Amino acid sequence: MTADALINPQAGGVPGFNPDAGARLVSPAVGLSETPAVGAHPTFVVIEPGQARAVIGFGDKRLRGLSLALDGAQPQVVADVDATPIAGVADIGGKGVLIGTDGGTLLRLDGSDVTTLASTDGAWIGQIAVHTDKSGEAGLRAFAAGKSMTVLDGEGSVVLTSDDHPSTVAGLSFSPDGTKIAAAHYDGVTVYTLTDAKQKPVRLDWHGSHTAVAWSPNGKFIVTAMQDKEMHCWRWKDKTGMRMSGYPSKIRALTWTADGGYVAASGADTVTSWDCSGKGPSGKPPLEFGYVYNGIVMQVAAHPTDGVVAGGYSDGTVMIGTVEQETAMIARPSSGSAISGLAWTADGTTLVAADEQGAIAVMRMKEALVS
Amino acid sequence: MEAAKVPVTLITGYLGAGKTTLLNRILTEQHGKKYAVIVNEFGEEGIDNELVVDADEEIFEMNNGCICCTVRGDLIRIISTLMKRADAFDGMIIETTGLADPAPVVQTFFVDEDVQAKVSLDAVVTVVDACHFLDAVDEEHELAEQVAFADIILLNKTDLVDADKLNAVKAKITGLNKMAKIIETVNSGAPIEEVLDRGAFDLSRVLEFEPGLLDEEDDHEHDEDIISVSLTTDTPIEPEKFSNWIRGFIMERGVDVLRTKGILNLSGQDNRYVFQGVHMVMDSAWGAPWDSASRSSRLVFIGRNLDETELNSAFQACTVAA
Repeated sequence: MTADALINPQAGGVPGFNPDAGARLVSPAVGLSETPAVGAHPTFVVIEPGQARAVIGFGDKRLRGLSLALDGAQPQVVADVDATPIAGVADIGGKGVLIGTDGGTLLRLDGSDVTTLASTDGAWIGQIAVHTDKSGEAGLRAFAAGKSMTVLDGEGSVVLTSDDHPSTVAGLSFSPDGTKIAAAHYDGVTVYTLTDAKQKPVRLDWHGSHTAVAWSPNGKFIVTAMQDKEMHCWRWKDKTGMRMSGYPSKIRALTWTADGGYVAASGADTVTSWDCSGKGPSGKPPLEFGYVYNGIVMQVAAHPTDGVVAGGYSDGTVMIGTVEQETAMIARPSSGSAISGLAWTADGTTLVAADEQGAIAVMRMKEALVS
Repeated sequence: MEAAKVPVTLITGYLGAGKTTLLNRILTEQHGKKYAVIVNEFGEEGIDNELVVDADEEIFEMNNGCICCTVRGDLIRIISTLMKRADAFDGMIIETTGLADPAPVVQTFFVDEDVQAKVSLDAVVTVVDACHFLDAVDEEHELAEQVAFADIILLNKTDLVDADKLNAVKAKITGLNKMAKIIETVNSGAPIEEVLDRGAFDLSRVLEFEPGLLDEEDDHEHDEDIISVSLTTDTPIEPEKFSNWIRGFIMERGVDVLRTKGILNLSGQDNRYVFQGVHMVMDSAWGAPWDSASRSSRLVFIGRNLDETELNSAFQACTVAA
């Protein structure tokens, strides 16, 4: 990222930046294109590498796709579903989209075809996760409905199912090697070993409601977001717990930088990143970038290769920043509507954000983010 | 402009009191309006609505230093998700189980940001079975809590009791809760407009509340009983004294104090100062200006182990005269 591409309002900002007026300059390093608001609430944004499109789930029971060719394309309805799609992630190998609905169905979108992979007795499928193995072709799918969590192999056979959780499962994350899965719930996380049915699940205890979980890409740490405006981190090797607190708002999103060095979170008026090198974040204050006046970070998404994180704010601003340098640039100015979905393309050249009114911003990086 | 928040009505009451009957009356009488109904158990009586969400009652403690601060995790998840749906709701109605403690439900609306941003708690409506209330209230402490938390009490099945028993039930209810409006009904047949859109948690409407029966002596038998205490003074309140006292009191006794409402005549202020609380969660604002004639402060606590004399002397010590 070049120096003149950077904007750091905390350090005095740039000429013309007036937080009170909401005037925001988009960094010249970013090409921004934006589609008009659909008027429905996006529930997730997933990038499909094969199709070169973003797939966005909406509260009006529709899946819309947006071409990332930046040719002035508008979002198109890809498929109508019979219940609200409430969770979505890229499916195995990045081919297609795996979707959970409030009708209790686990769906797979392939092109514009929707197939049902599993269904419950009506319990909402609010949490899903996918692991792709080294071949890039095979992998595992997991979904949770109420207290129950199920892992399926690529063919749809049940690998593991458990309802031994003290509350609804509020987050799922595979270990990077796919041998384990962590389920977040009230009072902690339960970790299951998928490769050995005889191994007892490991319960990581911390009092309170854990609402999201993310396993570090290097496999060393498990981090949760909590209803209590804090995060919790366990070092997997010795199960030592660490508390990361001080947030003004509840933490809705977590993301690990590609090398596993930092975990970044929403919940403050800046994007906060905790140093998880060595023994973990204990005793190290978080690094911050991207202060937005009267804004709270709602969504975060780490760049797929560099030490860069994108943050989506409650006022619709999107910031892209370097974690270690604590510098940020504005990639999308405020729309007044909170960001509800944020995702990078696999090559890290394009970022897609959706706000609550259903406007979709496509941000193309004009230059390398880290030189 | 901020979109109007969707009102949420909480219906509580003991098993068989008539909660589902009231719910179905609302749903059938409010033609053309769309409600999301959240229930914690499917009763024998069906619910006549397109969208009924069955929730598991998940009570979560918060690690915020407030030991009584619990929220309902299931409601946070369900309400946040429902508000993303395209169908615009005119309202939401939550029917709790017969034995539910209303506090976690009520606190959810004050504690969770996502819930707070999109919906507002309109009122706690408690349905009371006139026939069985007096026998049951001493056995099941949840019943007293449900009455204590109520903004509106549907005193139901009045056709099944005589005048003496009805009066005894009413006296018991009033002893527990002086703030609530009591509506006597048969078959939960209350006028719907007296149940919905009450804005009972809206600070701008706290002014409308009239603590009932200020002069009546409470004839409670045990100190552990839930009672309501009304305090009043015509002498202006010294803000700093009051603030110190109420903070300390709520910090220390918030577990016992179920609900608080107050309208204060603060010294040197032209406007009313209104506030309300649920356990340790407090909310306050400036209300309408005073008329010159009647500048009287009123404060009501509903809770356990409350000593009216002690509270009154502490309150009177907050006036400028003290």
